[in-house]
Amino acid sequence: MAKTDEVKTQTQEQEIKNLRAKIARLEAEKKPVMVNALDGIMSEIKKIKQKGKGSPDTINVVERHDHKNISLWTKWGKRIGPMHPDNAIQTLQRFAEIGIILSADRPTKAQLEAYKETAEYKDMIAKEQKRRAIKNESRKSGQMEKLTAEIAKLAGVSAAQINHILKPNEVGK
Amino acid sequence: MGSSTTTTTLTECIPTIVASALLELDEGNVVAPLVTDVDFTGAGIIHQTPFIKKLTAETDDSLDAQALDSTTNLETSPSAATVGVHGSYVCLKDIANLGSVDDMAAVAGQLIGQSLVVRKDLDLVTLFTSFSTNQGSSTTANMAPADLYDAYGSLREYFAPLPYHLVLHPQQIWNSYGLIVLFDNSSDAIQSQGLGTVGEDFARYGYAGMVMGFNLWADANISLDTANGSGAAFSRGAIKNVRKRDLQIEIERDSVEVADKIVGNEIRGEAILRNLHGNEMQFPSFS
Repeated sequence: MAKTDEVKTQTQEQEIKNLRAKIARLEAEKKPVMVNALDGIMSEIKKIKQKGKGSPDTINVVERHDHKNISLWTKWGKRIGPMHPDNAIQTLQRFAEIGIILSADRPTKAQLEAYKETAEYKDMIAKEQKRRAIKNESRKSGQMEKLTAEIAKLAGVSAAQINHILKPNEVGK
Repeated sequence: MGSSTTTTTLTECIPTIVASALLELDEGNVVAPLVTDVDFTGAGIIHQTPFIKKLTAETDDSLDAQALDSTTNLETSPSAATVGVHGSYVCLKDIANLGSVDDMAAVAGQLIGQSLVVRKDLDLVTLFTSFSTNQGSSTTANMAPADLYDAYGSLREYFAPLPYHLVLHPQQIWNSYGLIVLFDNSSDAIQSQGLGTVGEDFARYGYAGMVMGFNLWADANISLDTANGSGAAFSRGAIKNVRKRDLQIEIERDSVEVADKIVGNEIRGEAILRNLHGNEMQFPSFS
């Protein structure tokens, strides 16, 4: 009798253990299962809406032109336009007069890289940097420092002394 | 302690109210009022403006006859604008119109008008890149004071009549490397002590109507990125805006589509008129 009870208890304990493991497994799976199920429904709803869609409730705005605007490109990749094809032709001629040949084809990356290695490009960039350097002289950068240095020279003191503004508690000391 | 009735318990009974739609905004008609306006009614689709070169007066009692000469050079290229159709079209289904809170036909009309205004302004600002004089550079995003007075000098040299306009992308004006920096009393400013009146205007209003002889305009239709960014300094005669037929909106019933076709279009063109009365101001974006 006692032996039978013991076996019974062991079986019940094992059963409880199995049930707990099952609950734990289901708990772990619960969230993803629900999310996936929801995803599935949402995806099906989306499909139904897409399949069943005519075009009665949409408003389409369509732009229409009788020409296509054209862009021109310099050899160093600068874009001119886009503009009316007739304007593109006039621009092509205008730039040719100042020695810049434009193209209706955008230069490829390889072409740009190759052009950047040419003497023509290096010369152009050098000229451009020189031009910008002259223009940048119109900035006031460093002018205050130059003024301070000039005053310091005339006054026979250091620029640091001129720039040193006394705090209230330093005045008269 | 009974249960309270809340918006949560009555979720299914509370409707969602759809208000009037807000329309996406676009840039306005900035450049057209600043350039030469040409009314091109009548025959033809190409509006051509030839140039005749100037004469030279002699200090002699035996004068040489001078021919009126319309041959071209950089300054006097004939300007031809080909007019074309620019339009927008909306197919407004009855069910969409009937089911909406707003009057969708009115909305469509407004959007069509807006798209055509943007189209025109875009066509005009992209011409800025085709001026043969560029005061800016593809190598820098920083504007220098000299860029502005070089532009003024260039326009004045070729007798461009006043007023002069400076149209830039908003980010070329109000940015840590833009035009405003020239007037903020920083080390890169035009003057190093005190803001000056233009700086005061920027400080007080956030805007200055005129800088260094140019009326200042902001136009977000200008393409601005690390490779592009061309505004312009110009006089009215630099560009012509040629109007063959102004904006017209038509509505046509399409029974088969159960819809109204709402079509807006205008016929116009634009071209550089006097190349040397405009300077490109190219300052691409840093990032």
